[in-house]
Amino acid sequence: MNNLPEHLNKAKASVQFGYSRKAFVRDQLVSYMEQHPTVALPAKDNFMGSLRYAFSTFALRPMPVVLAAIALVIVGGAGTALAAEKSLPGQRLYGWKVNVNEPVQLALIHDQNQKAEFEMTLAARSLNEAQELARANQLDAIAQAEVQTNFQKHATHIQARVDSLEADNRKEDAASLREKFRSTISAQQKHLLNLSTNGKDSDKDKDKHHSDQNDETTVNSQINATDNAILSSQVLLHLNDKDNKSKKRGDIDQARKLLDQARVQLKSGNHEDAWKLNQEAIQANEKINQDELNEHY
Amino acid sequence: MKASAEKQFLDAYDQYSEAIYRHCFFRVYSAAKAEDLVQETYTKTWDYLRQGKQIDNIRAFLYRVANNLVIDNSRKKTEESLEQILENNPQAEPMGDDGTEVENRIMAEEILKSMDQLDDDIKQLLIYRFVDDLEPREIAIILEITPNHVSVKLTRAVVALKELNKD
Repeated sequence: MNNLPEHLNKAKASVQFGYSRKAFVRDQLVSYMEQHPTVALPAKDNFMGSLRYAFSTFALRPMPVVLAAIALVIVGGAGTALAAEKSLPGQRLYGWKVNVNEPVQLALIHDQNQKAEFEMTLAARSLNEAQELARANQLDAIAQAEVQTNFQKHATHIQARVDSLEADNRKEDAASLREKFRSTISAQQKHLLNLSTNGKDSDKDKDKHHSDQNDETTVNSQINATDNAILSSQVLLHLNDKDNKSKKRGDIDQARKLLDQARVQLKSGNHEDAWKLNQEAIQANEKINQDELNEHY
Repeated sequence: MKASAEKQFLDAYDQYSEAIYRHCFFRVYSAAKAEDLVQETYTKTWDYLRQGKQIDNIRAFLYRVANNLVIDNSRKKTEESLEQILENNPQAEPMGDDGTEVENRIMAEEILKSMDQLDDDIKQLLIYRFVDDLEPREIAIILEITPNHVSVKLTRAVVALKELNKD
């Protein structure tokens, strides 16, 4: 190990944060910033000064965002909003759907519990959209990133609501919300796992899947569907057991690592090996879910 | 037009989180812990800012916070050896996306094991210089010492690591 810089350079190249993990942490950070605004006064014109100046607007942030979103709907027209509703991740109007339509819909709900329940519907819709794309073998990297970012955004908001209820000592309400979210996500997860196993979403299609094992697009879609199933497991894990997440996250990491290996095999043209590794990842994920069920329900 | 405060802070996340993650990974040998540390680094920095306090160099500040959190983390886990961490935590193995994965992983583990025998401040210095690619003057800002002092300590750190690998 005489050439330390070169060795470290090679080693560090193999350590990456990863797009989806980075986006997930970013989303949590945004949520944290929204919940912890500041009302400090303007100061000098430097990085922190300008931050402090604008902090005072953070406290009012939800209203300008809502107004801007409503203004966009008016300017863009109801036609765009309606067309965007039918769009799927990866498509041109999907950004409008999640960044304009959804905030406007949420802004019109004042009751915090109803808002959290609607967020559940939106989170489930994200996973449902992923299923629709996976069925058509169109769940590519970009669509996948959009699905996960949107799902995580809603999941983070629901988690914040559960935390808030617990902080107010409303344990029963918190447990009820948590259970509703768990059952909503579990139902979606079953479909995702069917898709990631078979590329089809019903039992009658199961016998067709072997012929698809050598198709790169199909296997890629299956891997992405598994990725979403693992992500939903991770969200549920976090919802149930925040304090012990590090240990259990090792299992999630292991499942995700199998998927990463599957992607490497797919890239190398070894479709069948990729398919097998995907199956192992599914089994690892199922074990996590089973352990979780045994422990909490 | 001046960017919004939120955007500036999130830009700092987009720009430096990858490097902070890598720094934390090489300090704690776990992807999951490194991710937690990144998140905590940024939320603590945000908490600092929202109290109206000033930061002249956001990058140096983030590294400083991350370093403090790593130290807190290692204090809690003093009973766990690197061998145990690597064995019990599969994600501690760095991941690549091509055929060099195994070679790089073995190399990374060798380096981590060697570096683990060094004092934490020497290890930290080596990571700043060779993992984070920080210049001595940048390290000097983080550690609040002179660039000359950093250069001297770095030379000693490299010698110490080479000594360890002679056997």
